[in-house]
Amino acid sequence: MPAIKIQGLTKDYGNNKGIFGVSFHIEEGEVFGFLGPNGAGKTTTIRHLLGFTKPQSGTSTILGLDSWKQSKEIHQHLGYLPAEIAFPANMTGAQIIQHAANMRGLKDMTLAQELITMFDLDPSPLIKRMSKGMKQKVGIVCAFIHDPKILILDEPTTGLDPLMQSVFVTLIHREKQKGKSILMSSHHFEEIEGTCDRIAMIRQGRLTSALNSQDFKHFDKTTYKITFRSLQDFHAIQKEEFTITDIQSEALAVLVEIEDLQINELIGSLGKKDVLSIREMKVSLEDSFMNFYKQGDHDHV
Amino acid sequence: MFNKPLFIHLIKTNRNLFFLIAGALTLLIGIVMSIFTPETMQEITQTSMDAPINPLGDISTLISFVSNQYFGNFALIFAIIYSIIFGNKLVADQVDKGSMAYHLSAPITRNQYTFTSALYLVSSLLIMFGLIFVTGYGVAELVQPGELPVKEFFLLTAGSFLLHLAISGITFFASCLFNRSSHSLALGAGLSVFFFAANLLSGMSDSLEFLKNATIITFYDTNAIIQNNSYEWKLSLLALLAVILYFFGMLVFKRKDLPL
Repeated sequence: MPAIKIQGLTKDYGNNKGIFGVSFHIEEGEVFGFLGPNGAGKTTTIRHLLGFTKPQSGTSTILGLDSWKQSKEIHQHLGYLPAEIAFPANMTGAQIIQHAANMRGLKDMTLAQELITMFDLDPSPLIKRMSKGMKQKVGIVCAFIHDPKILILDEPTTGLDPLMQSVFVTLIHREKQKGKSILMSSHHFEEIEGTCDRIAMIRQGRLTSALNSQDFKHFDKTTYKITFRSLQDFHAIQKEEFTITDIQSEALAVLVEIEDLQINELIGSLGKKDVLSIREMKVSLEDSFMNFYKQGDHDHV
Repeated sequence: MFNKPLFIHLIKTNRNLFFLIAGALTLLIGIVMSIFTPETMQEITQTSMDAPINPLGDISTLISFVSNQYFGNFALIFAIIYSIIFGNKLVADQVDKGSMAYHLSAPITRNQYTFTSALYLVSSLLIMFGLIFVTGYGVAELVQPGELPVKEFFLLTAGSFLLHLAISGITFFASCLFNRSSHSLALGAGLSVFFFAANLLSGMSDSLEFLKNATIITFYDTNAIIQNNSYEWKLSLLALLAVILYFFGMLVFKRKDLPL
């Protein structure tokens, strides 16, 4: 039984807003990255999973339980961190964490204490006096407090400083080792790259692609930017059998994409030329996202 | 349906405003009961004899003063404000601000949330009017023993409680219906204030008396209560209205999409 399963989920808000026929599933123990530009439908999908919104058509289940009808049972095994975090006014961080524990009938606060220490959080001030990052930490503690089987984290690191972001990544790794199933939406590429087993991208309410981690972690091609001192060498390389992806005539530079096995050939060839510089161009997940995001912009025009 | 940790949470987070309004109303009834002794009443009646219409209504006896001035004015305003603030705060405001996500991320049904909130609102009103009755009766017995007709005072307090139960039903229903505070207040506060204004105006001149038909405050007929004159069905209507509004508020909230 998959931890999370969404099948043909549709919610049409009109004006081409909403989600249309979204399907995916998350296996037990899997970390699933959910990506897409703002307003693409990430949060709408998550609202369905939490039972805040009723699907127009399609189904959404968590641990085999219907998200809309059995949300109470689901929330026993679910930790949720909303994108726009908000707490009841006039409470301190500590009271908010305590109340979250009370609502779950949780007596043992060792895990909460551990998380507070881990994120270096001082929960004593009133929540309205807290910065975005501090509120986010309180939200993280509340989401993880009951050691849930399933975690739904909507842009979990917004507001956290880089140090805390890496603490968070450590936490995700730890939870993954414990066999938790995690759905995480994010704009931080490194975060997704470093933690997720699979990713799905959503744009304009439609799921456009799903990638396995192998697809985005182990590229067997590398691109180098090579700048030459002389025009002669610059022209020479273009006649050789390398895949040139870009030519920058003014800088006398070329972008060469090669299979990793070809590297010796390239070095051999460059050895005979007067090379000013050679740099590896990082082809990361980030580039494919950037392309993906930009595509979205064109579609709007 | 009932959720104890949530109920305790509501008591804790809302106690300041509760004590402020309940305290003000308790203090006022204490003052009324200690100041308006038979001698004072007589003086007031004499000095206001010349006025063509007494804007305060009949205030010749302690119980009529309590019914017209206290329950018909002070308590009405304060308790309406209380219902408006809390009706909105318990549901719509939480949805609007997003903190409803925090509440509903717990293993709790929406019905449990709204039922517990409604129970909090109802029981806080009950305690408020309980305090008013106990304080009013206590002070009257202390300062002017035997002057306060206890049965009438009790019925006036209970009736006022039922009226405010119905008004809180309106604000609670509006709060469950809308996802935005502004909309919830427009309906809940708008209707409550309209009822109050219509009630106020209808007493001012004969030509405005038709406004009595436009406000539920009419069902809290203090004269009928004092004269023991078929007030029961009117108060029952208020109670029924409250039950219906609370029920449909919960029903609407259970079924709607939440933008959280």
